[in-house]
Amino acid sequence: MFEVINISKNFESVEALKKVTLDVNIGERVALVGPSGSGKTTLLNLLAGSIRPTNGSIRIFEDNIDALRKRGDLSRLVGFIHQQFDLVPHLNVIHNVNAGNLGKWSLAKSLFSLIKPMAENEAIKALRTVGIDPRLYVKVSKLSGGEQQRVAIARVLVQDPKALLADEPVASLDPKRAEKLVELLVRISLEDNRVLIASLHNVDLVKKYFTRVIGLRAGEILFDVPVSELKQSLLSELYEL
Amino acid sequence: MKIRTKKQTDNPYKQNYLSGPKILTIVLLIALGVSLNQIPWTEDLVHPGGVESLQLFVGSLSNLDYSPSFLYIAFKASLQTLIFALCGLSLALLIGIPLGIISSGNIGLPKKTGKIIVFLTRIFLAFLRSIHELVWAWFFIAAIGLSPIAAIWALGINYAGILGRIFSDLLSDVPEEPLLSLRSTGASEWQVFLYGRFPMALSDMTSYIFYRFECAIRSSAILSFVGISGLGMQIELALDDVNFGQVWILLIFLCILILLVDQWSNLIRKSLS
Repeated sequence: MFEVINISKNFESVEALKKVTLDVNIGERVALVGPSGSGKTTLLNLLAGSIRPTNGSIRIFEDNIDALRKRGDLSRLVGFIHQQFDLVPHLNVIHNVNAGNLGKWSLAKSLFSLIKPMAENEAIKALRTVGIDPRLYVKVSKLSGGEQQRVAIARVLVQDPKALLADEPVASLDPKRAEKLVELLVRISLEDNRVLIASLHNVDLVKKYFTRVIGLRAGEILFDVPVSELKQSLLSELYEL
Repeated sequence: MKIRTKKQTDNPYKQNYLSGPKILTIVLLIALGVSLNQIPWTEDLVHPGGVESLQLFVGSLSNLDYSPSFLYIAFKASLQTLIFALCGLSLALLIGIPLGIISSGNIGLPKKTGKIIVFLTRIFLAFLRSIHELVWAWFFIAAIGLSPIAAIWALGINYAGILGRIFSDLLSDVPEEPLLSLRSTGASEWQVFLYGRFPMALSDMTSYIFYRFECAIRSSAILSFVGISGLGMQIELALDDVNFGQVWILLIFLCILILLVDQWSNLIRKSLS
């Protein structure tokens, strides 16, 4: 699905990614591991089309990512769950979930929905899927951090993309809740056969739930192996100071 | 600015004693010293009858004009002042909100023409607010005569300039991350505006509108000094009669008006946050 060819990304004088090449296919669940600052977030942002590479190109289903974005088709392919769930705290849950529909909706329809919310049933279904009470008319700022994260996932579900990207989705959760959340992400990616690419630090979760693991260090791919071949020696080398 | 950052990176271990704000503080202190020196301290600073007038003014606190007929006049004048303020502010919102949105430059206008439009809108807003409402009032009275419409337009035009400017800043200063994630769902700039920028700025915009509403009441009271009915005109009439008992009543009515608006704005802000 993703075809990443020789991409680099510089932020001013810092090289965040150096000549990264990789393919990701339908059915894969990829874990990105690596020390802080190794370029995991940058890679995810590039795959989501939020930023553009300094060099190299990214293709999704043989189409250039820039062309897809210009045509407005990118949101149907890639959904992104950010580290800070990045909801709009002042709006009710329903509008935050409906934000996943904006790529499909006309401006008039999205304006109208702010007055008389549309697609309520779809939102209720998405919220049930992510395991929270569908309280549509509560302000997001009134929800707990865990609930907000699930609303953010519900938004991506409504967006219904072919690939799910998640940037450190379990960074702020305790071990039990972390596993539950990864389980949820895996479940929703299996249900509709979506690609899942997530960055995380917990090796046990990687081994249990993912199919492939990519180790990034200082902007370069150190290893890219099936989970079964993930050895302690690779990890020691990856996190070596 | 650039030179300053360069200096700081040259030697991050040493404090920079002469930064821009500090130089400005020193200049202002010198200006204060010079201006104090200009005051002729030896002559009378207060005019001779002043203390007496002041005593009369404060003394009349025990001699307020409670008569129902005057209270009715004060009430009616307060109502007029309130209505002019409301009308003026509504007009300001009608003009200020769209101009503020355009001048914030975040609605996906095409790049080059967008820049020109934003620039022109900013200049227009600056023009509206740089002229005081009293001057606008004088202008409108000259144009359409002593009518409430003149006061409302004067208030509306000046306040539109102020509100537009503040709205534009508030809409630009919202956190960027939620907007980025809205864009990643495929939202257009207008949709990002509706689902992110505007709701995030709304509560600050509302409190600012209420703050401006208080100002509008004061302004509308002042505007009526130029002869448009309202609290200001009544205050002026009472002052002409040296009837401080009535002036006090009118001032109390003005305070009550402001306090009521303050309470109202508290209620609305609570429901928004």
